[in-house]
Amino acid sequence: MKSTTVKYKYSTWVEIIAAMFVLLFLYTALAKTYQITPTTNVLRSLPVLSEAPDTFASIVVGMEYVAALLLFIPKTRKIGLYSSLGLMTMFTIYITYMMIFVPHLPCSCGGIISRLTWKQHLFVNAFFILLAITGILLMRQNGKANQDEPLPVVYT
Amino acid sequence: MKKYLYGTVGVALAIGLSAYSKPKKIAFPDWYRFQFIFSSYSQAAVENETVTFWGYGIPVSGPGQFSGTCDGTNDKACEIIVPETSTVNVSGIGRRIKSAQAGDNGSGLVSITATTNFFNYRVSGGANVAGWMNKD
Repeated sequence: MKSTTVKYKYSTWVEIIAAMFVLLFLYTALAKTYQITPTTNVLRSLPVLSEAPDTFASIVVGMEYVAALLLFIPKTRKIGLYSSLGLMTMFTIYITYMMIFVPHLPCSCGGIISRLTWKQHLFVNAFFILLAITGILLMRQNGKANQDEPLPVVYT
Repeated sequence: MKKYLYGTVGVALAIGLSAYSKPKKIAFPDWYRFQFIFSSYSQAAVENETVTFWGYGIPVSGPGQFSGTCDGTNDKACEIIVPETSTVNVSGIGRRIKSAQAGDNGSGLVSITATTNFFNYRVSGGANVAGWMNKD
């Protein structure tokens, strides 16, 4: 009984965390889809990405859609959380690069997130990285709780 | 079905928020592209901070829209792109890179001088010249 309660708690939190990432990724991906030009403009000015800014922008948006889908489907949620962690880490590296080398450029992010300063953006990313790690750990605990649960006894 | 509940709320919120978000106009500054003016391009030539010539190209709304003297081969250090805020428009002379970016020691714009070509300016000396070049 206790194990079932704990499992329920874990899975609920994982679902909430996944939903938060779905909201984040889908919102920013949709915002970028509606208005891709500012994103490509910023990417164009970066030495590493200036060769194919449209391609890079499309890849990033595509990855956000895929991550949101993986998180939405319960069976692929674990992969989704790992993808989210990877994406957020990648974005954080990008932000750190921008902060150091081109702080005068606007963020190429989507929606209201683009209005954040680089520092605020870094904090938001750090929060989501921690959230992804928490989700992964909770999912592991959930799996453990599943293993600990005794097999159902069938009386015939 | 309950497993999809929070996810569905997330999807609905994302669509709703993006639908009602005002498309934000990012204030992208005008960019000015300065190109290395060379008779024979070489790494040593562009790295020579004492005799470096930068020619002013055309104002662009975003980088990557100017084709000038750089031929696209090994020309990473051939040009610098600076935002409008890093340039100054001097009456009768034209657009110049601001002294700080040009490596000037603070005594003004003297380190950038017009050459015979109206649009060419010489940037002489200063560690920041190398700094700009390294960004490309």
